[in-house]
Amino acid sequence: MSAAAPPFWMSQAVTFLSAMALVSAFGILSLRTLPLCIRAYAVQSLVLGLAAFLLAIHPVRAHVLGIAAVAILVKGLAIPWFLFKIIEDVSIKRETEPFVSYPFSMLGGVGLTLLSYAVMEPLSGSDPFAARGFALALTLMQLGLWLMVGRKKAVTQVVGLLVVENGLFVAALSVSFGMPMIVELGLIFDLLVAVVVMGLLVFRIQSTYASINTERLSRLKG
Amino acid sequence: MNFILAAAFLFVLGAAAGIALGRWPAAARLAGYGSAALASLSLLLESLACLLGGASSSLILPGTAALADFSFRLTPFGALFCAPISALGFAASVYAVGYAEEHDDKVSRLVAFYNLFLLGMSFLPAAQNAFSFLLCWEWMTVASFFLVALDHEKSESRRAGYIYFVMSQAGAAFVFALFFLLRAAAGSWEFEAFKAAGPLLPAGAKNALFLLALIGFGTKAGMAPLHLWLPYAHPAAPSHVSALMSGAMIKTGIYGLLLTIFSFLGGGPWWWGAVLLAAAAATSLIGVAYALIENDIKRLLAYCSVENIGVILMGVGAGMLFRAFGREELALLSLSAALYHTVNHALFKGLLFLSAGSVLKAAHTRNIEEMGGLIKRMPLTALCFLIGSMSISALPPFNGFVSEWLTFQALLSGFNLPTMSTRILSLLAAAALALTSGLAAACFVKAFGVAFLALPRIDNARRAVEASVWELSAMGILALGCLGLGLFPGVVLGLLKPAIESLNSGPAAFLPNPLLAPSAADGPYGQALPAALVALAASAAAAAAAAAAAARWIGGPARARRVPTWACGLPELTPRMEYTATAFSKPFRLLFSFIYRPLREVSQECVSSPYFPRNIRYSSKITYLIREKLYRPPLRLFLKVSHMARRLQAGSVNVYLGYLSAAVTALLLLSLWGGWR
Repeated sequence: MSAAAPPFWMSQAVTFLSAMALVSAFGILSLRTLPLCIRAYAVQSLVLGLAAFLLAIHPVRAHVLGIAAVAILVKGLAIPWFLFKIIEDVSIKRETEPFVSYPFSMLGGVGLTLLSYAVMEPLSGSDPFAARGFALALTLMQLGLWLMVGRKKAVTQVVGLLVVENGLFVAALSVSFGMPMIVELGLIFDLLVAVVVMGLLVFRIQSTYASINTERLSRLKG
Repeated sequence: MNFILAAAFLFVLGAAAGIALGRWPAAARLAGYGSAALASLSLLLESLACLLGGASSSLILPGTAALADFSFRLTPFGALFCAPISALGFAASVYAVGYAEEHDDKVSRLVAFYNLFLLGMSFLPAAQNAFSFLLCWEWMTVASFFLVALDHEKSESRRAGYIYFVMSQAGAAFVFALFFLLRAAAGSWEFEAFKAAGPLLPAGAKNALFLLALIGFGTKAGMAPLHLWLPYAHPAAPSHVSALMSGAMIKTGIYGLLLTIFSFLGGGPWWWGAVLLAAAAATSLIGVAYALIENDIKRLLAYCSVENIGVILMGVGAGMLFRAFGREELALLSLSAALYHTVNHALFKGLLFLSAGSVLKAAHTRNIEEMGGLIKRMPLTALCFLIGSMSISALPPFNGFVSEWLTFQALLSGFNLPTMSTRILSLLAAAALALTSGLAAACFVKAFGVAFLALPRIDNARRAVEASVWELSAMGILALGCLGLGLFPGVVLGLLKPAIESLNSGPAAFLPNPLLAPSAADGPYGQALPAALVALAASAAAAAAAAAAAARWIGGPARARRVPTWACGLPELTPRMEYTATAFSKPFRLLFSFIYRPLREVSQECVSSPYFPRNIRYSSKITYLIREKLYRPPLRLFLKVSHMARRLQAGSVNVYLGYLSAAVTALLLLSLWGGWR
């Protein structure tokens, strides 16, 4: 953390928003209908954007401000809107019979969270802010990956990938208040393109197999 | 003029011409093969000049900083291998101008890879450091793989190419290991440094290097049981390429083996020679055993190459034994025999493959059971095949006789070895050689007799026409070579001398006349001189001619009458009455049934009683013991393990993601356990 310490309310607010991001990640892991999952992802993105915004106003960091704005617009609004459109078009609402059952996926999530925080523990002595940020980032990445492992619907897997990306966003934010502007913007637009492509893929899977279960895609092997 | 540089340039030019002129196959053939022939000719002249005592021009191209330069220069020993390779390369290229119209649909590929193959192979003996050697080695292997797999539409060709590629690369791994270890010991890639550092290595390291060389170079040479690729790869390639692969390419294995054992390691303990001699005896017997019962003419020749590699290696093994016990003059005799046979085999095997190619082109079959009567339709090709057969069966006055004779001399000199076990081994090898040459003669009686004599069995054989002038002139050159090397062994031995001296890096005390009794001190036990035999044969022929002239003078001019062969009163002779190749080899199949494990099946379909069969079906096949017992079980195990490993690849996205997740978690746990050290 830089020399000028932020006011007390602000560090409290950032901590609260981080907690919210974690809670929404668990929300995605436990919710059973796709619209709710997407909504939880939108909440997570908005919360993280807001945290970035808070970190940017004191002291003022112009590029972090820009990144926060783009993150809120793209990840908080555009991508969720697009995902909603997809599930409306393929008219699939629920994740039935996941690979990993809901209680077990929650338990696994808790374990991964504990592991991530334990791994980052030794760092907290030197730079507590970065250590907490990293722990959150690692947790989000692990949970996103765990979500992708456990679910069958392609849309849920896309959401898992987006959660992983949110983890990367947090990591970048906590190590240097965001990567260089151009890299961060490139990443976000990459994400947008990726989501569009994956959306198209979901349509293709739907039209080929009359289902968006990725377990049908098992013939491509040696 | 730098002949080596000129040759490299011409080979590349030939490859480029083949690609550029792909639309005009006749022009591509003429330009591509013509340029290959010129390149081979210039290399042949350069090697002969080098063997006659001239200094070789060299070609050094700067390499990358970390590795050595590309350095090529002919030593007399390298020249001895380069000479037959380029002589055969010349003949095969001339041959291909006429022959390769068979493959005009793929002319670009064939001409380009042919030139590249020849480039790699003929520069290999000139390489002066490990880097250049390995480059040429792989170059040769990869280019020849594309030639083997030329007819890639046929699954048979693909399979042959696959087996060839896998076995060559497995062998190459051993060669790479050998050179890397030598590099580590010598601290340089240069062969000169290897020669200085190798003999000083500890015995254990030397043994390991010897075994690496034996397996690595043995695979290329076709030493049993590593010979498995030969009978697949040689028939699949076009015939002029088969001639080069069989006559020249497998010799590079002999070259590498000799270079490693004698130059780099400076000889070794006696058991090296014993191992090599035993392997060589086994190789020659296995090769000839399978050649004898094979009916596919090119596969028969391929098995015969295995046999001849065995004969060559017998000389090498005997040489190592003699050297280990300090009988230098006998070691030199054995090495001369081996090198002489190497040169000879290049000539006669090249000749046989080329004439087999012309037969193939005319009869459109490789199965000799379907040919027959070709001597009437292709008399010159038949003559060339006959000369090749006589050479390979070691009949005077052709070259095969001289080198096999020398090998016999060397092996029988095993009497002079000090220990009983090596004496017995060397005499057993001599017995194996005797059996081999007898069986080889039987094998070529069968090949020539069934393919060329009697009546044609299929329509293609009936319509066959004589080969083109290009093909005949190439075969003629090789046939003359076979005769010349058989009639003037003294000249050849004179050329072998500098080669062996450069292999030993020093002057050698040769026997005054190796063709005579090897050691007068130990008592004469065998003397013959091919020239004397020829003189004897010539005087016998003169006597016969004189007798014939006398008979004509007495009995008046003879009248030639053309009448059918007497058929014991049957109305006519049909091809179905002919002696078949399978029938010819039947006694051997029974005699050596412990090797062949023949299976025979006869089924009869009868109308009412067994005395009136409607048709009889007969099938006979043999078991390839080495393939079934030595290669199959490990291969099966390997496939089983692979199938088990394939379960990891479930095809499910979730499982793959699970692997990813598990890997990340495991790494995190590891870092937690290690505590960020």
